[in-house]
Amino acid sequence: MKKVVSLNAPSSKEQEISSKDTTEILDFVKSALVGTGQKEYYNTKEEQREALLRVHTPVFSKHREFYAFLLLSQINDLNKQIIIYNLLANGRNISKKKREVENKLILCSLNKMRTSRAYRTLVMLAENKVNNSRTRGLVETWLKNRSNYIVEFVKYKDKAKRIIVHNHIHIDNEVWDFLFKTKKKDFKNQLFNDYYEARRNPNKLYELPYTIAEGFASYHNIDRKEFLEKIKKRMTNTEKLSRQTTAKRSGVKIEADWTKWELNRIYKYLYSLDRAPKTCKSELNEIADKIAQRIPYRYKNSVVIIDNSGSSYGSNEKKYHPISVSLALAKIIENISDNCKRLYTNNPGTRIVPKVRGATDLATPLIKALKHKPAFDSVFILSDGYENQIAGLVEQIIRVYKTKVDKKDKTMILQLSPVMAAESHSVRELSGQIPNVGILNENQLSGALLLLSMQHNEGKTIKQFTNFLKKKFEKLELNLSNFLLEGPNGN
Amino acid sequence: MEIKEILRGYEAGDPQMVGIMTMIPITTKTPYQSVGNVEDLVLEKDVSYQKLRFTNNSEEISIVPHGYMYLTQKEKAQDRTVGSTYLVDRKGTIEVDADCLEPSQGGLMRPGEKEWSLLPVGLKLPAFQKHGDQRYQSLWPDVEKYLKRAGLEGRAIIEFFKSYKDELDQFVAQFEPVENQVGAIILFGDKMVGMEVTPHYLFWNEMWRPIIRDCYGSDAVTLSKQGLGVGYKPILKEDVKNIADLESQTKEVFDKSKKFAQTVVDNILNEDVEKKETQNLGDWTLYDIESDNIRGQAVKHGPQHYVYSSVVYKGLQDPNVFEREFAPIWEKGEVYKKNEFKF
Repeated sequence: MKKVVSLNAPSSKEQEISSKDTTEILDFVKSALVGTGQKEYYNTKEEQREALLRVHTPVFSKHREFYAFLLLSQINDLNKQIIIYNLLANGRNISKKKREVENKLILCSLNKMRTSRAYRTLVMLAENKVNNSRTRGLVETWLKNRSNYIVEFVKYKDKAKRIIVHNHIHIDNEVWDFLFKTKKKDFKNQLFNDYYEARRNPNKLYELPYTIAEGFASYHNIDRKEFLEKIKKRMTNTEKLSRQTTAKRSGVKIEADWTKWELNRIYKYLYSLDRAPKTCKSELNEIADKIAQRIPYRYKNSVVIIDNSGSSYGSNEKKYHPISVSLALAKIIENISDNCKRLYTNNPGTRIVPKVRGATDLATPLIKALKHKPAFDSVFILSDGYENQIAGLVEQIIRVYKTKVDKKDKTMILQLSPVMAAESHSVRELSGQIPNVGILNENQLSGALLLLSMQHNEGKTIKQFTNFLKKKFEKLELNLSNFLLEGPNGN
Repeated sequence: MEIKEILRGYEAGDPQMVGIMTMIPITTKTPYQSVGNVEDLVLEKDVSYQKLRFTNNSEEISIVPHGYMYLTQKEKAQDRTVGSTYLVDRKGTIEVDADCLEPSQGGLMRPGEKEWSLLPVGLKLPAFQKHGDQRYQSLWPDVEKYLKRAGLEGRAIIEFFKSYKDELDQFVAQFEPVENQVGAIILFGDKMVGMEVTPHYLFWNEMWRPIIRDCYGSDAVTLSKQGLGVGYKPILKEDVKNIADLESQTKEVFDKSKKFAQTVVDNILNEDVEKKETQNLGDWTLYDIESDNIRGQAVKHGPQHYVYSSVVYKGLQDPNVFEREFAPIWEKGEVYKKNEFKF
């Protein structure tokens, strides 16, 4: 992101959340959950990013405190990057106490992001000339508290240089020489020496960490299969997991502990196997349970309707993505409900992962769910919304159900879509009368449930959510000196 | 014989209904496997603007589907279509008549594997009628009419696919192939507009997207651009007191929709057709078939079993046909919101 649109300075007083504000906040959180800024079906990258920046403005201007606390939520990292930028670029006229809180939120957020995103965030600040003492202090503290900064400086050499120069950060002489000078001597730090050696000698690159070695493999035009075979012993489990598809394509076997994967990826992996591992069920439950503990919502009697029609296979580029996301969500919803039943649009078969085939008849399982005794209080429909047996029937069922049968609205019906609709940058609605949200993976479930409940009962939920984030903030631990909270000049 | 002879041994699946189009799956648990896949056909030579030579790389007999079409965006060559079905011998070659679909572009295609598609269903009838007339430009006027109906100018069918790419992509996402599917009967409104049967599941999977998107989807889009073909929407009545009532109404919608589809289809399937043999290859026979309402082709293996068919409704040429009132069980109305693609 080269240039960021400047925003109006926020008002010094937090405003009460009105119903109009609720709409703004809703739009913001909805897009912040799934908006990635990547090229979607209809929009260019630039259009996507401008749209994201535009939706930030109202919330930041009027509800700075809530906006800052969103750094603890599950909105995606791109939007957290924008929040960090806005907070640091517009830091005047806020109290010292609020600044301390924001600093803590920013540091935690940077720590939790993927390393590449965190460095990109700091480079973005430099590129947009955000140059106040508060920012310089924060950046220096963050950099110097990185446990693996030597490896990071080697991997993100250019970014590190930019950040260090812009923020006037004093660093060790040897690190400075590595970053800014052409190699003229032997370094004490062996990694720096290996880096320069690998440039000249391709055999040396296999002594570097995988992420750094990969760049040199490309530089030396090394065959992918050969590279993976030789480097795999140096890969971390996360790296092994994320390179499974590449490895398979290259004909290289890389063993990895699949239970450390994201839940939706585990389901995709299970689809690729002829037979699921014996311990699979218990491990899936354990993983889902851990995720469920981080989610602040609980349900009593719920039902999950999973669309396992042919379209839930996804595409050749993203095989089994929609169904895997749905299964992950269903698993977690089962863990946050006292009682939960599962229904499918098509016969799932007997394997641990359901068969994916057939047309989309959501009406039949929906009726089954609605007539269940005892009644469910929550119905989750996990579907891309492309209904064809018969298109429009679910909308009719919901319309009549809500007006004639469930007049007191005791049953909450929600739609979560694991894909964005091809024709718009949003979810394909099954019915305009039920809340709906798009969700890319199970890590966004909290945010998605917030959005869904906001659509179901606005206003009240924003307060609940803010309180939840504040409580989360109180539990934060930062092993940093007090310096970080005040800034070098107490700013 | 009656058209339904072609479907002897097959079964109808539950209809999928989205807007103007209904797709009734044709299924079988005993597909005929001894036919090569469509992907086994390779262009051996672009002989001339009106002749293409194919090679069948399969160990089995293969079938060139009716309306097989090349849109050569990646090379400077004329787009072409094959206006007839052909049987191709095992590991054999065949030279077929072709029609040009791109007047403004000269050039012949390079041999080899290529992306292929199928002709829009509204052009299949003229393609049947003019096939083999030794004039590569015979379809140009029909393409021009077709484009005009869709609000476009020119005589190159590629313009349609470029202009309506998004709508067609949305369209194909609406429908899904079902288990054991080898074919489909397609309705627009209360009219059966086509029937496609293929020998086996893989053949059908290869044909799926070209059939639903390029062949029938094109005409669904065209009808909507003309303001014809009102979308359907199942409407449930308000006299519901409890969930049992709602369930009963929903079941009624499903039952009526199946009955409706069956009634429409039966009207056509019971028609007598004239059958004329046009090619045979050992136990395989290709027929042209025609009745008052339909025109098409079918391939039979042995004395009884039809393994391929492509049949279209003649009335597609008359857009007024779609101005008729639809069956009273349906309400006219839009399935989608205003900012979405409408049928």
